[in-house]
Amino acid sequence: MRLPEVERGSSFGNRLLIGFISTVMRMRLPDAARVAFYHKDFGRPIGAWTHAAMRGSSSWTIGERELMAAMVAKWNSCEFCVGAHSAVAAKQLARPTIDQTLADYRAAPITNGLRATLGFLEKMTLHPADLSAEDARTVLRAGVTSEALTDAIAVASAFNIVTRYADALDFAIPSPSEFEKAGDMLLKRGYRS
Amino acid sequence: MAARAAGGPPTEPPYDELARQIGAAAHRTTDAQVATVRTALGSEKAAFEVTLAAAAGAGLLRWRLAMQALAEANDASS
Repeated sequence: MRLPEVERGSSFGNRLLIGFISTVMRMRLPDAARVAFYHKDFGRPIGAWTHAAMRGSSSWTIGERELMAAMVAKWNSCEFCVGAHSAVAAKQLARPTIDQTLADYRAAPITNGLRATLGFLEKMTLHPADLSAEDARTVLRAGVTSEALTDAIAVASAFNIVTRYADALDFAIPSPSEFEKAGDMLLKRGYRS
Repeated sequence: MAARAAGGPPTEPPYDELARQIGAAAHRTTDAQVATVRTALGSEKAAFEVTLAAAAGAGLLRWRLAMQALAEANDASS
């Protein structure tokens, strides 16, 4: 973490909370949660957007949305978010499916609609200026509704934000078992700060 | 910061370098880039704001372009 005040907490109450949760979880509280506790007035809108996109009403399952988040993280080379969101996705989808999707979503055992949507989100993440109506039509032709593509765009937009501040602030990388524990918390509580 | 991270024109140094970096390849951000902004602004809270604003700019650019592509696809089919 490149900003020590974010890591340790900006107030006595904040530090107490970080210590308490770390003790209960029996692990170092992940930096994503420390960011959510820090300067809440500034970061709350991002948390609210992320929570709505990831846990709000949608035709995509929570597991599929977590997988989209992990894919955006992969395209942005964000190790923390790949670990965090593939761990949550694995609580809803089969781990081999997640690993195969991360390795090559074009050949992974996922629905054609999700595959087409990931193609759109990849271009949106890596070459946003090249997006065209034809890219959207390709997804719609795969049977994805306009509302579902909007939901997926909201997920990818949120994680094009989260992955960037995670890497810019240099989030510490938890161990696989810590990602598992944190995944339980994210599945249960979502992303509201 | 948000506009710079979305490919907009340069802003003032030293914020410009950090905002551009976060927009283009945040995983290549360096300790020095963040430390320089923190020192220039005199607080971690301000450096945190610059970081989140730049990240938000890159995300919002993608939201706008993706929704524009979808809207054009829907317009053409109606």
